[in-house]
Amino acid sequence: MSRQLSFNPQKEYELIEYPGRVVNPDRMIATLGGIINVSKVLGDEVKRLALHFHPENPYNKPTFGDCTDKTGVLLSITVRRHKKDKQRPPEYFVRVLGHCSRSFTFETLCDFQYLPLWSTPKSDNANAAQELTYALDQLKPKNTTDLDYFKRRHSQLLALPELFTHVDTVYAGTYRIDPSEDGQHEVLGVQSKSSYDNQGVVSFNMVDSFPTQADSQNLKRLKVKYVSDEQLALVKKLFDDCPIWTRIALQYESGLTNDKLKCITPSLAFYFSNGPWRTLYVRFGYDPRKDFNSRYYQTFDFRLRFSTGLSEFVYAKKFVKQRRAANAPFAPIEDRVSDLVQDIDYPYFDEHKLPRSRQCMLRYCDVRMTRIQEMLEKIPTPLTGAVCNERTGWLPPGFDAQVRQIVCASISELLRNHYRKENLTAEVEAVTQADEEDEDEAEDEETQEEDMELDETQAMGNSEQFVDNDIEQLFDNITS
Amino acid sequence: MNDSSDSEYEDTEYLVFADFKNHIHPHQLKHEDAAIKIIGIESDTPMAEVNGSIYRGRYEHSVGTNVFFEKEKDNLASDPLFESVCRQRYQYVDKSTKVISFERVYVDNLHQEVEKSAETEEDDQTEPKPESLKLNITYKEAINKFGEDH
Repeated sequence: MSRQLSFNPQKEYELIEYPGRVVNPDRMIATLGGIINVSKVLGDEVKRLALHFHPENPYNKPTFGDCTDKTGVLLSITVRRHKKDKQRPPEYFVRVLGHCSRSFTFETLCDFQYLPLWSTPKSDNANAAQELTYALDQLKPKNTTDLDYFKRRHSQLLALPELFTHVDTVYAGTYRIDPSEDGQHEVLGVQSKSSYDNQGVVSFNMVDSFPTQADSQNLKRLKVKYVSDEQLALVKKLFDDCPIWTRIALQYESGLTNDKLKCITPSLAFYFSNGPWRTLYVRFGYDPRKDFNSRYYQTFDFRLRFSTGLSEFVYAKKFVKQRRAANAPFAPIEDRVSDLVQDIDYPYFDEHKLPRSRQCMLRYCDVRMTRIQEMLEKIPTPLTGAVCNERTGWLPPGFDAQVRQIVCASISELLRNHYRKENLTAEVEAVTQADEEDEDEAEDEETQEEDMELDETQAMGNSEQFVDNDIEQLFDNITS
Repeated sequence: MNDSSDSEYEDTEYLVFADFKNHIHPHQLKHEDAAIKIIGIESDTPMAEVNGSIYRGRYEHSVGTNVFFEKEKDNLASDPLFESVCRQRYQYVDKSTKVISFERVYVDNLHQEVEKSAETEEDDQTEPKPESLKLNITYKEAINKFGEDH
């Protein structure tokens, strides 16, 4: 049982949590720098309380205590026990002396502690043992009136820095946000997921079956892009007539923009990324490996070989589109060139025009040349149950090289005719000059005749060579 | 009375620091009307009431020593030639290694305790006066009485 005698904690006290067991309060105050220093620190809200474990030694660096908010009450408990009767329970009297609003706690790191100890021999003998002596008296004067300090010899030098550590707080932060993991499974530079939805792209092979219906997401995209039923039916009709199309041909025949076709085409056909029908869209459910008629739709990859004569006429596809987008002001040159070069959006190759770009992806049925179409017709029909070749499809090996040569020959023929026309215009100009100058008529006529003869001989030689090559290759194909 | 107490009893005084951490604002304790009631100081869990809030304590040993200072009333002006000047001098009061760590507690079933305390009052009234002076109140009854005071 206890009794409380006083209740008011109005009186204020200051609390210092001294990091040690205090036996002598005077020495405790000396380690804190004296009562004056303690009073200064307690009177100020910002200062830190310095604690010197060895107050007289200037080479012991202090540890500092910080002021922290802590509310507490100081109690005095008196226990009264009966002297004679030990069995009797004691009485407790509680007095509230005052309160504390803050405390000084020493929670920082301690700097180095140095003692000025010198090793000196005990006697003049060289083999004598050495002993450590406390050399504080020799390093500094004892008090302000110590004049003997200047007479004593400094046998050894003691030079220490003022401070070793600039920060005495413990850094509790960690460099890893999640401390439970050891970080061995972290990977830098993780590849991001590809945003391209390539479910409609199929790699050509001879074993797997091709997809037969469109993905459901493509059907949803049709609604988002506001594709009308008429447009869908239009493209669907094109695929019903011909199962395999190029993108340019679809755009040319349907008249739709590329933005619409991007939604319509994946819902009707899949795309071959490689193989004999690469870069072509094939109708869902159609298998070109089993249909011999699909040889008309195989990919014909044509690229211009000679660039010296054609660099001024045929450009790369990107350059042509950029120039069109920029609305180049060179209209007369374009008009002149457009007669010779095919339009960039025209998907077919005509015999009387240069190709639309330096590289063209065509189907074999898009090459509108009689000889090539006859060659396609003459290929013998394979036996029932036969499958196409993985690389050449239904066409015999070397067929693409022959077609490429024939197309190059027609292009060179076209260029020759073009230059011949230019010569005719030059001749007309020469004739006008001849009218002015009567003496040079005979010389001009002679040069004209020579040019005509040379052109004729070259044309004849070229045509004969090509015919021979074609016949020989046809023989090779028949024998093989 | 003093003579009898001196001859019969021996007193031992202990200085204890009641640590409320940051549950109480210091200005609440500076107020003149502030009062702290502590019961059960002899048990393992002393209870304290500070301005209507109830705290449960636990005895602990301090790390190091708690040293207390207070302001000197006679603030003599010191000679600046021999010692540095400070505005307010402090003096050493006492030291202690005993700490009671108080934590906030929320009392449930306060009405039942009030009823129990009423019953105890009736019991006290029935008892004769000489017996009541012996302080035969148990811990639970003291708690109930504490609730009544609240």
